Amino acid sequence: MAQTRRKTPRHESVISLFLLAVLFIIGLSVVIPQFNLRTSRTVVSAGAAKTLDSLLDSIVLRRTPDGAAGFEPLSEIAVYNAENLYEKIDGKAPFYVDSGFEKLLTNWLKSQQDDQLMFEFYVYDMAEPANAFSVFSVQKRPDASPLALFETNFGYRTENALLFVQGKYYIELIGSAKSEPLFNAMTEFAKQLSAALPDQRQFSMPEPLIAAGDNLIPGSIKFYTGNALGFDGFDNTFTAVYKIDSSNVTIFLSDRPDESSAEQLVRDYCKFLIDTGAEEKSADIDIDKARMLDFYGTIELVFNNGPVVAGIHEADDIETAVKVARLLNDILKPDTEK
Amino acid sequence: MNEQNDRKLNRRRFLARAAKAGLSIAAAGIIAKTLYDKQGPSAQPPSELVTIPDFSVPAMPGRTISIVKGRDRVKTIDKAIDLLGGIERFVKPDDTVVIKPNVAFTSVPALGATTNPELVAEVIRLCYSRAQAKQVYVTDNPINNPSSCFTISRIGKAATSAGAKVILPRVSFFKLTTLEGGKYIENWPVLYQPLAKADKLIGIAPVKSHSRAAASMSMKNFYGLLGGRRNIFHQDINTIIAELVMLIKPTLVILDGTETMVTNGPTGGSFSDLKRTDTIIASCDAVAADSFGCSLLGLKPADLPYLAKAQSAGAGTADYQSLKPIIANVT
Repeated sequence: MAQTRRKTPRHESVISLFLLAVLFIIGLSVVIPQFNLRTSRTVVSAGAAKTLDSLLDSIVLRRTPDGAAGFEPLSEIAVYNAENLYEKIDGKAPFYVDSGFEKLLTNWLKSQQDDQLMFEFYVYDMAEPANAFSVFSVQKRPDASPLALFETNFGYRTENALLFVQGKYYIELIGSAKSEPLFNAMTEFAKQLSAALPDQRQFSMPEPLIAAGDNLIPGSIKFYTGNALGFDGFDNTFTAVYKIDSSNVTIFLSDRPDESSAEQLVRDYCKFLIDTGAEEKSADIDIDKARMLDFYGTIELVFNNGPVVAGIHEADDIETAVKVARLLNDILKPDTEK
Repeated sequence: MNEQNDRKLNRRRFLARAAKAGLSIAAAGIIAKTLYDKQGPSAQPPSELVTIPDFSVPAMPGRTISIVKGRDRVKTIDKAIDLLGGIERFVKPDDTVVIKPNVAFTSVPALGATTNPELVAEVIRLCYSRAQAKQVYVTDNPINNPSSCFTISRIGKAATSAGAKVILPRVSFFKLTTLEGGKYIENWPVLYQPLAKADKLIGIAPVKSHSRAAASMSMKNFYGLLGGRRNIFHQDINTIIAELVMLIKPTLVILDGTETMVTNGPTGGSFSDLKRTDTIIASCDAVAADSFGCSLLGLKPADLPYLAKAQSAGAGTADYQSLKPIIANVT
């Protein structure tokens, strides 16, 4: 018996194939991520930072200037972003991320002759020179020796480490030992890196701090992108140690958008101190609207001069606090009032 | 057309079609039965939840915590453990011991960011030579690459040289656990596989400042047993540290304050971040150990809210003085 098979119309075949393809893609999108299991670590790729990565790879330390052994990378450069920075530096990550961190490139370099000698570099891209200066200054070690190895305004060394800022980059070179050949290798690396880094901008200090002159202890300036002095209202705030007579006093400066914002910040800071146990003190201060508080035996003095909030933090006594506050206020006065 | 087809449908063709349809239905049924998930799409099947064993040993009044001053880590830890009754009190013959050092970073021993390898090796030696342990494992779930961390910290080499086996974390080693009454540890992965085969657990941690928790010591060390994206807990670090010591009940904790990382913790980086404090604490109570340990950082127990939280939860004693610590010096 003759059979007549119904021929499937072409448009039905096309639609069917299309639907099957869609189902196949959906299936793949479900199945593939199942093989992408992660524990606490994510795999990092240098691809996101190709240029800087290549630059770092191009730094070769086959032999240091004093003839010491060369250094070679232990592995590929690892790159971290704000999402996974904690995998490298754990509890410090929020500090960097809150300060504008964008990415970190890091690796170890090991001596080819002595496996006890190695150093790890950290190149933090902080997006802006101010952010880079902030993380540099806030973490600065007390035993820092100024770094005069190459063109950088902000750099220091310790027994085993070399740390500096260049443009938007904050760079740490951490040595495994106190060793001259190791330090020479780190210095050579730093020089090559500094010369090759694309960002040569320098962070500028505010005029009042420059005007403070010799009374300011060199290297004591810190810049906080947020939460200066433990108060979350103090963003973009400088602190520095001011030397007067035989006392060291911490001063602070925070530039606000306008005078009323500055006045409000003074009020907010005083409220914060009072809420945490400070007592307001009356004192004869010839600075308009200046307020003084006794904070568990130390003196806080805060005022604003136009849009700039300024003050004295944890001075030992009222006399010193007032003396430094007057000097600070004079510096902040517009030239026409001086 | 249908009418035409129906007319051409003879018996043979009907049976063939019926057989094909039957086979198709049977195949679909078999596949569905094979793939059928009786548990349903629950994200955390209850059968996967594990309970961390209690590794603690019976208390001995007056022998809960020892604080020993000394420059030499080996001599100092030997003395500290002896003062609590010796390693034999904690580890019995044929016990399997897991040692949990802090191997969080790819950092060399001299920087003090990780547990000192010499200390790990000495505790392994005590477990084998004096306590006759059957097997000692050393494990951690570092935030950096585990293999690199164990290599560069030199803990891997120290452990294997002393006869222990190093267990690097793998995905399959993690199991979900829940801390009853906990806020954060709920269906959370922990490095369970090494603990499952252990009789005893010894934590060994350095004393470090910590930018988030103020201090990282014995209690915070157990953070390294957590898996998953544990950094989310940094937002409430005090609660998670307290929960860790509620979850993990170690046999013994050793807190190394020979060199204390007083600044820029927990990673440090400069030798100047370290200060010689020449002290090692051995304790059956991690809360008590950390309550004393924080003094090496110039802190008071009240500066670390997780201590009070842990004590409130019954996980230890923040007032370590009430435990009558045994204090000694080693020359």
